[in-house]
Amino acid sequence: MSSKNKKQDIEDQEVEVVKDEPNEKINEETSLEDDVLTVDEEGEPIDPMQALKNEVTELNDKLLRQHAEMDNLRKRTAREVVDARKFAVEKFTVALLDVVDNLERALDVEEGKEDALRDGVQRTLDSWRGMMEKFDVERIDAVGEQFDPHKHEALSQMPSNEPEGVVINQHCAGYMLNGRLIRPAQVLVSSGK
Amino acid sequence: MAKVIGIDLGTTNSCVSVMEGDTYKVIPNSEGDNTTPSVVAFAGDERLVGAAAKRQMVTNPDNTFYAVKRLIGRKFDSKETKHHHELVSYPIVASDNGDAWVEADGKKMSPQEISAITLQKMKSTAEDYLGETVTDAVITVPAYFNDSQRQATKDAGAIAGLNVLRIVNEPTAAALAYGLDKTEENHLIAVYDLGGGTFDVSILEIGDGVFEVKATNGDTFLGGEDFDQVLIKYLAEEFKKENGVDLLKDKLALQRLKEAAEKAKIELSSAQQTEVNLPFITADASGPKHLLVKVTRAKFESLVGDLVERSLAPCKQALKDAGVSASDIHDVV
Ligand SMILES: Nc1ncnc2c1ncn2[C@@H]1O[C@H](COP(=O)(O)OP(=O)(O)O)[C@@H](O)[C@H]1O
Ligand SMILES: [Mg+2]
Repeated sequence: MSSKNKKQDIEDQEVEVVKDEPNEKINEETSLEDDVLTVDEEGEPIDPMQALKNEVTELNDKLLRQHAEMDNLRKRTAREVVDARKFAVEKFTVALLDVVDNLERALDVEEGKEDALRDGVQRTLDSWRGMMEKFDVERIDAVGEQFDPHKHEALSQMPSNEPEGVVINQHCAGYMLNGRLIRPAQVLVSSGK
Repeated sequence: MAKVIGIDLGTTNSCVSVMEGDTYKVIPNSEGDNTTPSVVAFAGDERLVGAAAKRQMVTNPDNTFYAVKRLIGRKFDSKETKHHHELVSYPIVASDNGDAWVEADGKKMSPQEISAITLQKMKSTAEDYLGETVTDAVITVPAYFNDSQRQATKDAGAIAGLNVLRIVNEPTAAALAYGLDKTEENHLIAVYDLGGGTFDVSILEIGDGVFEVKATNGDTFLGGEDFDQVLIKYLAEEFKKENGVDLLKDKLALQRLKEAAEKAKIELSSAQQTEVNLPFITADASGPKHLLVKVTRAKFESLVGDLVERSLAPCKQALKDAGVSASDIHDVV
C-alpha cells in the first residue's frame, strides 16, 4: 500500500476504524495486567496497592457505564414494543385509505353514469382484494364444501338436493389472517333430502 | 462511552444508524420512517426538514432545497452545476470564491449549510431514540468525491454540531453491510448504486477486511426517479389509447399516477408482475374513467432499457479504469 492517491488513503484510514476496535480491547486488557506489575511505562516503580485501587476505580466506572447503557437499552426496547403496537395498523390503514378515497370519488359521480360508477366500484373492490392478499388475508368461500366448524359458522340447516353436511349458501365470506381464522364464513348447511 | 452514529447523507434521502450490540440499527425518524428526504425549506420564520419540506415544495419552489448534494464542493461555472441548475426550481448563485451556492430568501447559503440542516435532523432523530446527546458521527460520501467535496461534507457535519470522526465511502459501507469484508482471499466486487437521482458504480478490492477503491464512475443525472418517469409516461399513453384523455395534463391525476408508478416499480423488484389500478382517475362528459394497467417485469425492463443502457457505459468505464474484466468480479452489490 505505498503508491496510493489521497482517496485511497482515506479508505485506508476507515479500514483502521473497523480493525481498531478489537485491538483496542486487547490493549485495554493487557494493560490491566501490566498495571499490576511494579513498573510503569517510564520505568518508575509503582505502589502495587495504588495500582489495584486505580484498577478498582476504573472497573467500577466501567460497570456503572455499562449499567446505564443496559438501562437505556431496556427503556428503548420497551418504547419500541409500545410503538410497534400503537402503529401496527399503520400500513394497513394507509392501504385502506385508498379504498376510502375511491368510494368517496364514487359518491361524487353525477347521476346517470351508473355503468361507469359500478365499474369503478368493482375495481375499487378488486384493488382491496389485492391489498388483502398482500397483508396475508385469505378469503374463505364455502359453498359446495363440506361444512367445517374450523372455518365455517352454521346459521341454519335446511333440506336440499345436496348431501347432508354440504354448505348450500353463504351469507358472508370468511377470512384468515396469516393462516389463522379471523372470521368464519357464515353459511347455510344442507340436511339432505 | 458516547455513541457514534452513522449517517448516509443521500442526494434524495438520508438515513441514520447506530451500533447496537454487534449489529447496526437503522433509527426511524419522528414520523416513523427509516429514511428522511434530504429536503430543506424556509417558509417565513419556519424551517422545515424532510417530509414536511417536500410536501410544501409546490407552494414554495424558490425556498425549497433538494438534491443540494450535487452542488457540494462544486464550482458555480462547472458543467454539473449548470446541468443541475436547469433541473431545480431554487436559485443557484456563485459565492465570493466561485463555489456553487444557493439563495434562500435573498441570503446566500452554501450547500453544506443546507446539508447541515438535514444532518441536524438526523442527529436529533438519533438523540430522541438513544435518549442522550450525540456528537460523534461517521458520514458516507460517494467514492468519487474529491478532497474538497469530502471536506465540505465534514464542514456540514461541523455546522450541525457533529464531530465527524470519519468520512466513509458509500460503496465501502454497502459492502460492509453485505458482510463482504468477511473474506480471507482478495476479491473484486462491483457496487452498483442507483439512488433517487444519481447513479454510482465502484469497483472495490477486498482482502483481509481491507478495502481499496479501484475505480469509480457514474452519472449524477440518472436515478430511480427517471425510472418512475418512464413508467408514468407508459401508463398515461396506455390510458390515452383507451380513453383519449391525457392524464399528464391533469395535475391531480398525475399525482396519483406518480405515487402509483413508484409503488409499482418497487413491487416489480420482487414480483414478476403488478397491476396499477386507479379507479376514478379522471372524468369527462361521459362519466368517470378508470385506469387499469398490468405491468410485467419484462415490460418494465423493456421500457427502462435505455436507462439501463445508460448505466452500462459508466460500468464499462469503471472496469476499464480498474484494469479488470467483468468476469473477474466476484460479487455485485
Ligand atoms: N425496493 C426498491 N426497488 C426499486 N427502487 C427502490 C426501492 N426502494 C427504493 N427505491 C427507489 O430508490 C430511490 C431512492 O434511493 P436512495 O438510495 O434513497 O437515494 P439517494 O441515495 O440518492 O439519496 C427512489 O427512486 C426509490 O423509488
Ligand atoms: Mg444513497
